[in-house]
Amino acid sequence: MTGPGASSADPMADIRIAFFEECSEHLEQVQDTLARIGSGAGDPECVHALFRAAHSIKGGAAAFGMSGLVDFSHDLESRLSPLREAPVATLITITGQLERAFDRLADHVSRAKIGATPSEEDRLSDAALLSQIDLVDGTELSLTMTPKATALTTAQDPRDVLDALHDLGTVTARIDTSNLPDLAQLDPATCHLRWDIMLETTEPAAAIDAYVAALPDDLGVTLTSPAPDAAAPTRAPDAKPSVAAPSAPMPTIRVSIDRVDRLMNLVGELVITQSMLVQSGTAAGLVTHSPHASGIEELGRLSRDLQDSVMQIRAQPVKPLFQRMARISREVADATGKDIRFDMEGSETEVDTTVIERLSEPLTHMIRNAIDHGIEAAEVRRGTGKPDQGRLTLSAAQRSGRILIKLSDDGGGIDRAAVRARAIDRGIVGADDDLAPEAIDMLLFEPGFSTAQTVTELSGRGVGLDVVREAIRSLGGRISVDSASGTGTTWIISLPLTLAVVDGMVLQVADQTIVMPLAAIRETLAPRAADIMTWDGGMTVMRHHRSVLPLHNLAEILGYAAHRPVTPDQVALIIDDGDAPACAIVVDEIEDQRQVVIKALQDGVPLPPCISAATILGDGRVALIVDPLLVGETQMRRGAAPPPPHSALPGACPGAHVAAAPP
Amino acid sequence: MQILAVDDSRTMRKMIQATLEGAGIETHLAEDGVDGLRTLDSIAPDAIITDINMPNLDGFGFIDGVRARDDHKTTPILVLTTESAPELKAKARLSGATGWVVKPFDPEKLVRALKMIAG
Repeated sequence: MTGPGASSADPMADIRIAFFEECSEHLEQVQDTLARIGSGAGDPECVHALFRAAHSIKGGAAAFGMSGLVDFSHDLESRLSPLREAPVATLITITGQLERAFDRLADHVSRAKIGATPSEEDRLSDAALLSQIDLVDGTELSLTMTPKATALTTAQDPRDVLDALHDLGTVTARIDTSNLPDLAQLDPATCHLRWDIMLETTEPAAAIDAYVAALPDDLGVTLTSPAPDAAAPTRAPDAKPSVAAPSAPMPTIRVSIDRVDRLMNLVGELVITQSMLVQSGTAAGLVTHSPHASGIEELGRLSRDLQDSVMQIRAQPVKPLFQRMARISREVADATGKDIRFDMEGSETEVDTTVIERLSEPLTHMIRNAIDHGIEAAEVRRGTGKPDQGRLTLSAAQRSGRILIKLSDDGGGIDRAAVRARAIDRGIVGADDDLAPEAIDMLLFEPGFSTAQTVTELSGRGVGLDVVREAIRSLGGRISVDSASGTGTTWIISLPLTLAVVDGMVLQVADQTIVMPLAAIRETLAPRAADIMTWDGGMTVMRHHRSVLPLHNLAEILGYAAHRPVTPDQVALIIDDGDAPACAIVVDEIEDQRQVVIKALQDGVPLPPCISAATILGDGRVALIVDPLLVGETQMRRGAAPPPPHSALPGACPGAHVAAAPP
Repeated sequence: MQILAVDDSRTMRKMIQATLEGAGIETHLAEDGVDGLRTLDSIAPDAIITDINMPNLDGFGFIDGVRARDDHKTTPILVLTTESAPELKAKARLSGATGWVVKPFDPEKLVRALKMIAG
């Protein structure tokens, strides 16, 4: 037993956990370093950093007797060692190999974590993978070609050799004509020339050797040597000062998520208590500007600051998630044989940690989809004038209280005719339905819809984009798609900044209190009977500025009241956050506008589909939180379905279960 | 007895600390050569344990730095590393290392080695 834990199991268990945390940190830093190398901004320190990561993981693994991990990190380290002396510019050429090797290292770490050991097959594939991390000993090789006089008569063409070498690297050839006889004596069937060739290549020397050995003797090609001082820094990078030197990390402490969650809950309770105080103070006739009232006000300000600070603790940059996705994209690219360039933008954007965890699966699925189905095969791309290499960009940005995560590819775009045909085939839409391009795109998210003509091993697992949409919705988010035929597709995920609080509008609907997130409400107004119309199909709409919006009666949708006409003392909320169809929602009264703490609803409670969560208000009332965009969507989606039992309108016309206003 | 242990791996530092403190040895930790030299400003250890492969300043540089200080000309230095190449050992000895222990270490051996060189 080599570890110090033979007698005391407890400290070793802690150290083991610390070891795997350290591994993750190393692997995360490695991704940064590899990105630097790949972008050409690498410096010798990069290779040292990679080396140290492998070395450090090896050291810890050895202490725990994780032999599989030790062996691989040792071999990786040995492969990296010679690179420490290599000219930086040549490193770029093996970035892909390095990325794959460190991906494999991450695999070994995960395997060691669950106590699994690699199989013999794994070891062989490891060895093959690592053998690709190889720079030529010298980047310049010199050859001579002295064809025999008879070479031309045996159909050997020196030009073929030069062409072939040209494919292996950069060729500089000098022709020696000193043996060329006078024209009078020239025999055109005899070769009198001789070549001195310099080959600058990234191919392993052995490959060149093998090529030369396979040439017919008549051509007289010999590899004279790697040129003396082959690693001369002729290709050294610009002597730029390393301005991008990583700054020293801020000191950190490790806290379990449970503790942060508990803190978050307590702060939530505090906010509720504070608003209760405000209400009871008002009810008790507390004078504004009295010391008590200002104290309560101050308490409110402090509670909000506290809440923000706790939320900041939960916020994490999306970078580790994005890095995982970069890895997935490499794996999928390998499996599909496509050449993919994966870029990420805004990876420093911070999102609630729960969101990050739960985005991993949907994003993985989307990336598989994008590479497998979105980006065309190289031959197809060439035909349309695109570069062979497909591009995939994953970006994150904060926009007006929400996080936008976009995945763009430069593939062929959504084949809308095929999508439509498939949807008709599956009975999702009718054959005669008139669908806008955007509506066709949304069909992709319908349950059971699969776009792939052939089920592939990668993305055709019977899991469709509907599962992705469900996952995003469970985070309070939405997904939409923007596609242009021939030029690519962008998937847009919009998420709330946090899952803990929301700025909400407190509403009265048929004597019930409902909260609606403020972010999606663009405008509130008193509905005028003259603006409200019921179309032939029974769909009620409201004229608003120059557009006509579907009008939904919230009391009825939630099942609180039967159909009743809209009255002018009610309020219409205009819903539009830019990426969903606008609509108007009618409620009875606006009570207040405040931050509410989101309380998850227990599974199994039957609720209308547009309820996303619940909250406790200042006076202790429990209120449901409605997602206004889901109101619009579910009403549109249920358009073709029979109306719910409480609907006062007979007949099953699209949108029929929406109240009609009197003329 | 008071020890300074220099290693860039947090896992390794924790492990050394658990081992030594378990044996009743007061242990101070540093993350690399630069940190190690800085730590020497505030403590006077009876012996030093150092890794070789470290960022900022590696083990060899650190040993040079220690030996350049008048008060540490003879402080025992134990190299604790995964390397075991003879030429590296020779190099460490030349720069002033007292002993060499290969990782992964046997806790008892490490404590024994320390007591031997520092006792």
